[in-house]
Amino acid sequence: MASPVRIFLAQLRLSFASALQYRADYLLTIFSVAVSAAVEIALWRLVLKKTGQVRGYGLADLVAYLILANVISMMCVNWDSVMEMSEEIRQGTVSRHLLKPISLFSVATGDWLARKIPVMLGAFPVFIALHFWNPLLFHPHLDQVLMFFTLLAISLWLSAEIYFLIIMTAFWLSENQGVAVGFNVLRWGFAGTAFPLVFYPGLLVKFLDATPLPYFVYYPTLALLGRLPTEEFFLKFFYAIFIGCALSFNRWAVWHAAERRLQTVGG
Amino acid sequence: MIRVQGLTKIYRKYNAGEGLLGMARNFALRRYENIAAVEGVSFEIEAGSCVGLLGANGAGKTTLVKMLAGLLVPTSGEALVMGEIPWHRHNAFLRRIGVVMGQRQQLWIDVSARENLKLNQVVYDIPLADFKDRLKSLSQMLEVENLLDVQVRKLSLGEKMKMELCAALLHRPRLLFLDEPTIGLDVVAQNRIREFIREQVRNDGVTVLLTSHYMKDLEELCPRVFLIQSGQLLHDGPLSALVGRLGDIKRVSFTVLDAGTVPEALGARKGDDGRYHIEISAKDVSAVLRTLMNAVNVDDLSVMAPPIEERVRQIMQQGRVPV
Repeated sequence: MASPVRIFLAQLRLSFASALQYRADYLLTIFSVAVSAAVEIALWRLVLKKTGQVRGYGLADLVAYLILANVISMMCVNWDSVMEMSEEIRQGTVSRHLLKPISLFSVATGDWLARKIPVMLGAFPVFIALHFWNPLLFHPHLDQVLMFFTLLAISLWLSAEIYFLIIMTAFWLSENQGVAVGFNVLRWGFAGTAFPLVFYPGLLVKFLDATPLPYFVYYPTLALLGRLPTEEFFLKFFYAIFIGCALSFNRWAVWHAAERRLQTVGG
Repeated sequence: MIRVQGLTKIYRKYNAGEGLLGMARNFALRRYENIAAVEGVSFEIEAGSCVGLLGANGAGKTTLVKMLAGLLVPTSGEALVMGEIPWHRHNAFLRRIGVVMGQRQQLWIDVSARENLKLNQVVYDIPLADFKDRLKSLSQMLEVENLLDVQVRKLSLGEKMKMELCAALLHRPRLLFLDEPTIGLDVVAQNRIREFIREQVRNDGVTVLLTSHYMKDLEELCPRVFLIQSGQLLHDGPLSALVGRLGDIKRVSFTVLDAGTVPEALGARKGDDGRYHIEISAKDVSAVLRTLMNAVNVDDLSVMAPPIEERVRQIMQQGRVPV
């Protein structure tokens, strides 16, 4: 029997080949992220001209943070494959996956990761360029790099689980794009993409700490910038595993309820 | 192979409302109604047979196929397909079925058919040598060897359908669900696909459940046909028996040399083709012909059974099968 890993890799390969067909889409995505980071930097430059520092971040720190946070966010955020798969459920074309001995979660994750691989490949030159731009600010040691990759893997895992749950809402709400848009706005504001979460009031930061949101962008960025102490990393790591397992269980339960609701009337 | 008992599927639907006011009302207060797409259907199908599903649009054919393929969970009733409950969608079951839906593409359109088939090779765990042999023979039979590396979105409708058949049969399924596989295809492509399906049943013993609006598909391929109307099974047997229930009807078609001389009493109606047609019981043919020849100056005349499509359409419009 074909192993799930082999099937996943084959699926990933096909999704990747499919994603490579859309060059303009890829280039425009990178362009839009660069523009949004540039606007944020310009705004913070104005703010910091007066205050000098905000909660431990000077302008140079913030520039490094924003560039990294935007690149990491671009690696984890998902619009297109959520929209496409939700539409497949709405239109009934999801049957092409359901009729094969392969899990829909594997298909959805493979599709999403495949779209992200070109982004990830494009991200590493940014990290290297940042190091040469200001080696004092961005000079990750091996432990920081290891923490970063661990947290990035966790970020991808948690994102995959949450995005799959959002896709599943299409079985109940035929017009579920609002859920995906809502979540992506939420993660822009509260995952650390727009600015470091420490800028928020303390109570809100404590609340966000209990949710998966900071794991998407904030903690991986802090790890790479050397702002996440090792003890704190381990605490966050184990908590993230706990959240991930809870999400996996929910995903499994929601999928079993969802598949019974498939209604494909008319052809 | 397939055993179905009292299978029922009820959908919940709402009407979108007419006009802006209707739509606003529907937005605020949505009224749902239950629609029985399939209602209390029971039958058995033996292995190695080819069975046709016939019915008007919205009769419940596709819903029935989707339940048997495991896509839809029925509201009530039982079904065993190759010893498995299909909607549990166990991998062992999914490996033994193949599905082609004429109106739903199964292939990834952005990559070539070969890439799609390679994914199937891994998913269905087909040994590489077997995959190559199978792909060669299927693509030769369907005459698409030269198209395997073309992006699927760039293939014509007929070529896409042939690739869908390749994908559905690559893993040698024992049961094949074909939902309108010849829809929208030209006559040549339809014939090739029909021939291909026939070979699969005859040579490989594949069981086929075929849905089609083309009577020729059913006439040529299916010794047994189910007629479904409003979700209910109205007929289970040969197509000829279904049509025969309307009685032995013959159609006399003729043209006349002097226009306007056809007596109304003969009950002839003029068709779009400019010919006159009279439909009568077979036993009355000679009497009617005698009367006709005496009454008018006939130029050209033929006597034949009405096309099967027309007779089936007649049954569908009546919504019942004559006893």
